[in-house]
Amino acid sequence: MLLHVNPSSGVPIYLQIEAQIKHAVAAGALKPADALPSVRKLASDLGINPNTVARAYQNLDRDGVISAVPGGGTYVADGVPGLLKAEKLRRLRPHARQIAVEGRQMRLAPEEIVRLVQEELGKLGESS
Amino acid sequence: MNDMAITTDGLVKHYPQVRAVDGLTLRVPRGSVYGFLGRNGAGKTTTIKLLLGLTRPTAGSARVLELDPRRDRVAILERTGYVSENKRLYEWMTAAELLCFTRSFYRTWSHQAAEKYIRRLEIPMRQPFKKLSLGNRTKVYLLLALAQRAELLILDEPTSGLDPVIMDELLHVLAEDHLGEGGTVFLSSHQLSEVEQIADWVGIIEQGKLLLEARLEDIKNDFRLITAAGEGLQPFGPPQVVSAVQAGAFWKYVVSRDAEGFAARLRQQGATVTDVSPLNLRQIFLELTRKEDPCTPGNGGEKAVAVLSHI
Amino acid sequence: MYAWKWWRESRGRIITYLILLVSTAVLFAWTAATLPFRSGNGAPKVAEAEVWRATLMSLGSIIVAFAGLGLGASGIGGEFEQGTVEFLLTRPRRRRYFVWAGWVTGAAALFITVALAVLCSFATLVYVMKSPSNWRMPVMIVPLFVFGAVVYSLTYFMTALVKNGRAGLTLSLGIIVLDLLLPVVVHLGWRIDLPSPLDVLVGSRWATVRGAHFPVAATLGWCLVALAFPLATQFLFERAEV
Repeated sequence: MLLHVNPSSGVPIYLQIEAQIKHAVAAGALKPADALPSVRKLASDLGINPNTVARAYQNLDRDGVISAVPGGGTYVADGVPGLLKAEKLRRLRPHARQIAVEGRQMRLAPEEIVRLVQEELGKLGESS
Repeated sequence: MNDMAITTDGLVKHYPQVRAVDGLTLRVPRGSVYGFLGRNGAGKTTTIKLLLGLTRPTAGSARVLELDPRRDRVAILERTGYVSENKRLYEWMTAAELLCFTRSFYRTWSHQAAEKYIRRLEIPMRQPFKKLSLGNRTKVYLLLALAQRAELLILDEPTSGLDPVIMDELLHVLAEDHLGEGGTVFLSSHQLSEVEQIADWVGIIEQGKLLLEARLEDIKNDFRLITAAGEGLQPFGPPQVVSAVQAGAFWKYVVSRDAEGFAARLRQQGATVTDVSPLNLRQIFLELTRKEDPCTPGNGGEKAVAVLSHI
Repeated sequence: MYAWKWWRESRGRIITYLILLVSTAVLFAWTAATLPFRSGNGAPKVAEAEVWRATLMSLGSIIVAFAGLGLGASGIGGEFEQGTVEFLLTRPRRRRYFVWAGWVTGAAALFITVALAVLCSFATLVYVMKSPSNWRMPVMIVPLFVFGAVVYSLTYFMTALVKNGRAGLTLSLGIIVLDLLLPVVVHLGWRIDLPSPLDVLVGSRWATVRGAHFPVAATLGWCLVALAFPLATQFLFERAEV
């Protein structure tokens, strides 16, 4: 599991871990039912606090990206994460706003901005 | 509370010339890494001495592992590993002899753990202590604290003289062995990037009082640097705005919470918010403890002296 | 382990005192046993023997005093000097453990030194005289040790008080000298007899090697004094701020 965190960036470590795992799942690098390292193992590999890893895993579990199996082990969740579409859109909106604002400030045309997003989606490949 | 490793309540320590600790109330949850930060002379080492029973408080109280350091000092010390700010040990002893000497005090000592740390931290065992560099002295002191397998580690500048590789090893060792088994770490250090990697709680002490105590994640989620341009913008003030610096038509605000709300207010006043960016621990620490902005002398900087606490 | 540490730190000193004291004691016994019976120009050299005995006796006492000073100066107060007191006091032991462990080890070392010297002296006597008239001589270990212990304990306390070995030793030396001179002055000036640590030695009629009686009351008294100092050190150490 190749995760890399930058403790000195302004972004909290747990968010970095969440983002990287979500990215890996979205890109297909992590497939449903793939095993994730235990909290303790990941913490010791990265040299960070296990509580930080635990928080990231909890959030990912709550978001339905991963799930903890009783009896041990954490795995990538299979199937569609159990969130309502409205909720998903609500969560994505701040990112969309940021792209819109920055694109406008750079004087890009709306079509150019949209095409950028489509290219990125294309790079991720098949997504459910 | 049962889930606190250390609590203090209005702890005070006055010396004849200086009020080293002046009403300190902090909470260190069990199983956490608490980064105890502050400038030199802010009262960090005195606080630690009060927790270990090396000094008596002038007023107030402390509880370490639910015990009173004034009455149950020995019981606390059986379960607490300590690395002192001054890395002084018996000059004539070798690290091997120091190990032997120290282990006789503890029932929880693990020789296997000691051997592992000797290897991983690259500790020279056969030279007399007086011949060791500062970094090696620190390593020996760390070894003695870690091999003890204590529930609580109180570390005062545990990275003095350590090179980056060993510092990294230390963090890994702490994450694996100590934290992995539910231990608590109370860490006082100037190495903010190392603290940032391992701490989940942060307490900033200034002039003997707590300036801020919160989860590191929350601090990083809340503190923002907002750059805005516009006519008639003001400095604003604490508690939300930690500092406000003007450069030409631009103002840079460091806010401690609700950055979005603040940015919205600025826009309402007709200003353009050009940037909202996060800050790392070092930047936040500097903002909170620096007296004056070096870039604009005479500015004074609106410093948040009020205690900001997020529980 | 604390005793081991103390021994390793002080063994050089102890061996020195041991050698000096044993040599002096053996020489003392040799002269006491042989000189009175040697004839110079026909007459036994009794007076010369007396001088030799007195000199060596004084020398022996001085060495014991120095041993007390030296060993006391390496007491618990030295930890402050070395900067290791913070390390020591963050080990899970009561502070009084360190005070007494240190004191007992030093006292034991002093006792062994004195005992060995006296026994070597006695052995020399037996060797020379074949059948000495004074089998109670080894009892002299007690007053000699108590004298040394008083100096040792005082220095131990002084070192802890000023948190420095050298200063503690000097202060202690000053007090001892004062305490030896003062009774003499008071006796001469006002005819009052103040107790003095020398009582344990002088009152025992060391002039001859026969009759190893020593003033038990004075010895017990000074014994208590010797124990009072580590007690005072404990009191001090338990309240010390680091």
